[in-house]
Amino acid sequence: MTGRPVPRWAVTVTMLAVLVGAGLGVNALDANAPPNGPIGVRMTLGRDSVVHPLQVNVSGARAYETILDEDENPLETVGVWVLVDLSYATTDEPSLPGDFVLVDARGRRYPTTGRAFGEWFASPDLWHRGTLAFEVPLDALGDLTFEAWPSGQGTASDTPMPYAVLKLRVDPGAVEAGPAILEEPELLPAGER
Amino acid sequence: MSGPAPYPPPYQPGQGREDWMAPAREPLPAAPPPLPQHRSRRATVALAVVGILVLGALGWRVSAEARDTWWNGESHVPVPVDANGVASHEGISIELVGVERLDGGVNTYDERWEPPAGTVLWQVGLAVESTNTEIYSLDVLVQDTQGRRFETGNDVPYGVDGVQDSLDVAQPEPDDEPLPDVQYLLVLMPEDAEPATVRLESSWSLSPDYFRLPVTE
Repeated sequence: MTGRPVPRWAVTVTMLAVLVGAGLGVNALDANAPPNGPIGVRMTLGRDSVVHPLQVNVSGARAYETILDEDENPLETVGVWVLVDLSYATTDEPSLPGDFVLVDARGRRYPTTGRAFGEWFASPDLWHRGTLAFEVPLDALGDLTFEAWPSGQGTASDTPMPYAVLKLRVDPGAVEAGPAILEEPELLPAGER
Repeated sequence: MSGPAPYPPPYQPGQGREDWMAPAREPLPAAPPPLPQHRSRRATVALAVVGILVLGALGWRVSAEARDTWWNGESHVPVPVDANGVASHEGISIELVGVERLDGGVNTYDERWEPPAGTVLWQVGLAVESTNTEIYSLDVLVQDTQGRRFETGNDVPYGVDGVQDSLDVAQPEPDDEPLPDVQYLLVLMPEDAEPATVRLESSWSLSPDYFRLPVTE
């Protein structure tokens, strides 16, 4: 190659630009990648997602001030009740899912309530529809994240276990007085969710 | 003269320009002979093999507890059936009497129960004899040709005449009723499932062994 040699400052600036650009690119990829790398799954509302051995389909979330438990006793809470409607089955073995967690925009994690129905047993390709109840403070409403853990507790940072993630939105203004009835999980005919 | 030689060396008349500007040096010492190629490659291979063996041994020791939990917590070793179709292990003998498809629903205590659309109810008959005093019950699963496993007693109605919720294995007390010759259990499977094997397992009293009864016919 002929011509003037490239000045050293130009080389330095170019290398810095490439490095910063690569860093920004990796940041963007990381932000959009599924949780827990290739073993995590991002769910879509109303669509089946497989996070082995669980297959999950979440249809929506709603908020109430009061709900009724299985004996029709009203359950009050300090904040609000968020009910997540979903159905799930497994792929090849009977299993009780590990955990379902609701995470608010500030990163606070809420388990399913201990006062009403929680997870139910799942069988291969036999879908059961039910509702999970979470108790959250009023300021947790807004943009929420729903996590489905086939096994293990919801500690994403400690153990690289696969889990599924869904972004949900519950408007703080859309809290209904209720009382909402918490239905028992029911077995669905084939093909229904 | 004493003292170090001056540099550049003084000009000697008759010397060529090259001799004066670049004083002759002794020739460089000969390069050492190169290492024989085959000897160093063998050493590398030996090092790699030893490294792999050492890492493998360390990994084996470190994972001992995890492997033990995984092996003894799940069912890995099947107890096969003999020529008569009976599987025997630890004093328990089990024979698969039949796997029957129940179409048209079943009668429970108070009403007729039909499986949801797209699912089929099956009845599993097992003949159990046991002299084992420590195992009381076993989980019964039906595995289909696709490898899916369905547990009996799930999603099935209660109160069906002649059908039990779970398999009794232990010998009853002398004044209790004896075990029935054949115990019947119900299992629900999707329409496209074909039963291939019946597995009897218990993760705390039998694992890693389990009974494996193939479905014939």
